[in-house]
Amino acid sequence: MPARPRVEDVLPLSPMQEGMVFHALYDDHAPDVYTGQLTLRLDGPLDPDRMRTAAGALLARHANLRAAFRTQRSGRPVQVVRSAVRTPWETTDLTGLPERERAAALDRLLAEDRDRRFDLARPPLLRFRLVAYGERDHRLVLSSHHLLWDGWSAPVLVRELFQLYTSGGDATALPRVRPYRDYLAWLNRQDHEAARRAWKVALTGLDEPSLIAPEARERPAGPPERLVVELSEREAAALTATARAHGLTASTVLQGLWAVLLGRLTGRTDVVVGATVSGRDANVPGIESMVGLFINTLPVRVQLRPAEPLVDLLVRIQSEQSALLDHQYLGLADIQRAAGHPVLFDTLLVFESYPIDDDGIAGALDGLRMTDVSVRDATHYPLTLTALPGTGLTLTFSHRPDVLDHAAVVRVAEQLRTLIDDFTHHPDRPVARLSAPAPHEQDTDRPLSHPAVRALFEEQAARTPGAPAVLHGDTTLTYAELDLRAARLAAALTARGAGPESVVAVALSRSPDLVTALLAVLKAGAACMPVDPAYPAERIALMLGDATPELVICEPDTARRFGITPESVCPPDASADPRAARPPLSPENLGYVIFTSGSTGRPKAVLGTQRALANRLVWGRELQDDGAAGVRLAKSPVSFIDGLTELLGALVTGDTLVLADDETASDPSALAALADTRGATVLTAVPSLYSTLLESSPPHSFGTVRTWISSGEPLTADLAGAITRNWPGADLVNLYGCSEAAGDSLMHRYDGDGAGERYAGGGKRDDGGGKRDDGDGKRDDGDRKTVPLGRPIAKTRVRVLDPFLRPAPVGATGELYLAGDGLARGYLGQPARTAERFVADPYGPPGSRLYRTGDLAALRADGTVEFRGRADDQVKIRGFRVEPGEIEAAARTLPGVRRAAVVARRDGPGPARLVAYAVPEEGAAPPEPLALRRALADKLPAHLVPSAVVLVDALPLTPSGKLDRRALPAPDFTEAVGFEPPRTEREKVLCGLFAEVLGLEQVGVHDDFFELGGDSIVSVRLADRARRAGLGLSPRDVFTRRTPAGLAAAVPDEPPSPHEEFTASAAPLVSLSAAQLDNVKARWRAR
Amino acid sequence: MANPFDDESGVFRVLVNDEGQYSLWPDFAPVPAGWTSVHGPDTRAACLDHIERHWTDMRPRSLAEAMRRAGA
Repeated sequence: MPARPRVEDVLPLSPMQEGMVFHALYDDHAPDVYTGQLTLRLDGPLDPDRMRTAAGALLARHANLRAAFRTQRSGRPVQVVRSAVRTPWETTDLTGLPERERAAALDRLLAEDRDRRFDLARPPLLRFRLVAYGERDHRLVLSSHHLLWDGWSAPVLVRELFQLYTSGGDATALPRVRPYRDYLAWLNRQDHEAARRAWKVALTGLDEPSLIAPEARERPAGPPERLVVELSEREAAALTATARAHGLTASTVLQGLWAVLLGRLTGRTDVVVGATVSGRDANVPGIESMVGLFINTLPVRVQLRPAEPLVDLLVRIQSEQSALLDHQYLGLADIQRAAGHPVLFDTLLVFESYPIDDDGIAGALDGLRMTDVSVRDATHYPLTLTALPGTGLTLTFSHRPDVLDHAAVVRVAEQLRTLIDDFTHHPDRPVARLSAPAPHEQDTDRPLSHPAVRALFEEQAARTPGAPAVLHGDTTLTYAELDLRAARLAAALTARGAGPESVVAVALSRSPDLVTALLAVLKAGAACMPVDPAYPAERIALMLGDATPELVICEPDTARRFGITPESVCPPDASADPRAARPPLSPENLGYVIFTSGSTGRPKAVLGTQRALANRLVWGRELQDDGAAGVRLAKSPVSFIDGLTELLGALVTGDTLVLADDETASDPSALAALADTRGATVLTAVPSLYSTLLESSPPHSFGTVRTWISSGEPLTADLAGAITRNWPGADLVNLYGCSEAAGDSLMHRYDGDGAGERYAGGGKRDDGGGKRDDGDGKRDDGDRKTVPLGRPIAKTRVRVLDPFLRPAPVGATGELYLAGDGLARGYLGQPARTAERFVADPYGPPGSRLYRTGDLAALRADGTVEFRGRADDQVKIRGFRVEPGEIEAAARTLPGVRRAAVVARRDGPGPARLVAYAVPEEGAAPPEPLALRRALADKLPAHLVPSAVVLVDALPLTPSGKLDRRALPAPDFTEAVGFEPPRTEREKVLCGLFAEVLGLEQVGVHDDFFELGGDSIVSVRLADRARRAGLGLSPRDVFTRRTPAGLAAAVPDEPPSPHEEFTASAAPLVSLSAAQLDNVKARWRAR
Repeated sequence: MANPFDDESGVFRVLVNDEGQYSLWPDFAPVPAGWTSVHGPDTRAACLDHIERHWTDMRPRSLAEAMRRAGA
């Protein structure tokens, strides 16, 4: 044994080496993806010993091939070069195998070899294996860690190995080695500060990284799979010729086309492509023949402009890149820090263009011929495209199958080919008009009759006149009774001027009168406009002022409270002869007017058509497909489209409608009792209510429900699983839609699987995390898997389009557009807003329109739509659509408020809450936050009232001038409250429960539940906990008593018993004044 | 995600279909079948202003005509 070799040198790492060391150490059990394998096929008589000697000489010659990689105590990795290392050499003889088995045996051998990790601390990080395949046929396998050398180095090493074989290991004939150390020294002399500045400038203003598989970062990278596409010699020559004609390199062309493709895959116009550069700077003497790892992986930022001709884009990319040529040595980690993004890209483009001295290699071999070379290497990126010019152009798509399946890569490859074709034949074509994948065609146009809504109901009433249509308390209306009542009221409406194209408001709470009134309006051919009478007077005045309804059906006291002129009021019991003639009705006539939150500060009214509503209702018959008459429990808020379709949906199907009071609707125990007593078979709820039902409804309740419908918010896979486990006999249906398309456009029947899609949880969605602004790309706490939105309902088409209005590729995030019969006419009195949301459909029948939802989505290959978040500021609070801009506008009108911002935030374990931030007027006494909140509650419906108002000196802004949501403080619900300790045991328990459900440290006996940030969902939780603690309280008590002291006084002496406490009938709240009742109802809306 | 219809600095057209319905339309994209450009290329604000001034009856033209005939 020779003496223990000494340490010859200790060197720093190049930036690329640092990155690879990180990946090698990140998971030291899985195969290291940066293990490379070079296999040479050698024909002729081969002398194994001589080859082994040559291999040893190669190791002796290049110091950096003898490096180990260690981490110093400071944490800094170094490479330690040994003066000598043994030569790992193994041989395998396959000649004993039958010839047909050899290829498979070799493949197995190579695969096993690739899985063998190198220990970075034990040099050398390479090994040779000589495989005897036939008598005069060998394979020399050189496996190594990528830390040692790059692709450019490989032919240099092979040539030297052959020269050493020929010379019998004598290296004197070879030129002197230019050591890798020289390069590292050069690297150390560069002006890193200047490079950081240059990269910072190049990436300024970039909002987000370009990730096609964000989840890949959380998983170890396994061995990749490959797809190889060969461009023919003719195609490659045409590509090169076009490139040359415009002064472009083939590499730039591929980078630009890849950027266009990436724009489609990510739905962005500002994209970052990862690109590998050779890193062999001409200022380092002899760099072209050096062996080592010189390559670097760099971001190529491309800002896509729709109208820019492709060739102009490419020229621009090339000139932008050339400005960075002097700074290509800077490590990616440094660049990412300079850009303020922890990650920039997850796709990599490698253009292999290093020189290969084929003649030199061939001539070096004594008596042997190298007839084939194959290289296996990998990266940790989800998708790497390697372009290898030869006679044609070989495009190798190497992908991680755990995050990107083969079919997806095939589609990517097809698109790239098409784009290359575009470049070759139409280089002047604008970027937005480049060839795109064909839109997904949907076959939903089954023949459906489109009678008006009134005909649907009247036909049903004729079929089942004696069946119960509406149940409420002690009241039962049969279909015939309901039809007759509605017909009489309709005749009264007609007599007073209502008819097609007029609007009739219905301001009644959920009751048989409400159902009758809605049907009457539709029978009269008018459009119904449901108005929740519990809304603040100011809000109702605004709605009535905008819509100027012909008539308002309401109780006299409602009319008085809201100052509705007597000539516009129609009492719900008005009646006229129903045999009067009705004016003709077109499916294009208006059917409904529904107000939704408006981003510019006012609610906007959607004008829905008869066709849209009828289509939705006819389709809804399929929801419960067993043919038997069902019982639908109606509990959705009446002034929203879902409330309307819930009521009418039952009545065009022959189902019985059970009306829940608002109080019952959000008390799980009361709701369960009502559902069980009436035998409810269909129930619609928003996901946040499902959570409450699962947590707080009595065991075995809702046993008769056959169909659960979820809508309003993304349904998480966790919640869907919990629902189906709790009620295994029932179906769970996820609906997606909006007022602009009759409420529902997509449907997914939950099947337990296929629900595995994640969407980046940040930002412009209900948690208000500000992902688009914060620039860190991804926040794990907001990520969750959601159930797909599903496929289009009848006569509905859906499109997912990229920013250039091209169909987004399968799996890529784009914006969701809806088309078909469900589309509304537009927004009342707002032609411009209508024309920018309801836009021409480039892929539909001539002249047809698309509604752009503002939701982000991706299509699966089978046409199923997945939710991917929100494109703008809109949020959902307990299923309600909320435009923060509307609340901000309302807040700015309050005295003492100069500026305001509203965000939805999730600070504790509970659902998202709205928080308003107000900047007080200068020089005046600052307003009281609680007073501001009360003032907002007087102007806005409950779902738009923030849980808290926080005063701030200024609204924090990001460097790009947008609201910096992350810099906004969490509301402190305790600061304004004077703490008074509990005096009795009951108060003590209740103070503790308040603190627990509100996530506060302590709560005083006089602290108000709502002013501490409570809402209807939390009230249910509080009542539930109180009942478990032996205090018989209901959510209603929480709303009326509001403080621990008040609730303690209200606790009945009897311990609670859920089965006795709640009766199915909805008893009126006789103990409350009308004003209190309104207040309760306004606050109660949990939908 | 940048929606082309929201691009305040973009170049737009105003399209109208046979039913007299209006659509804002980014100039970079081809005009879809069944639609005619009636204004632009112009700024977004100018196109929206054109729509506000000209789209005075949001009823589809065929409906408006049918109602006129029925009323006459």
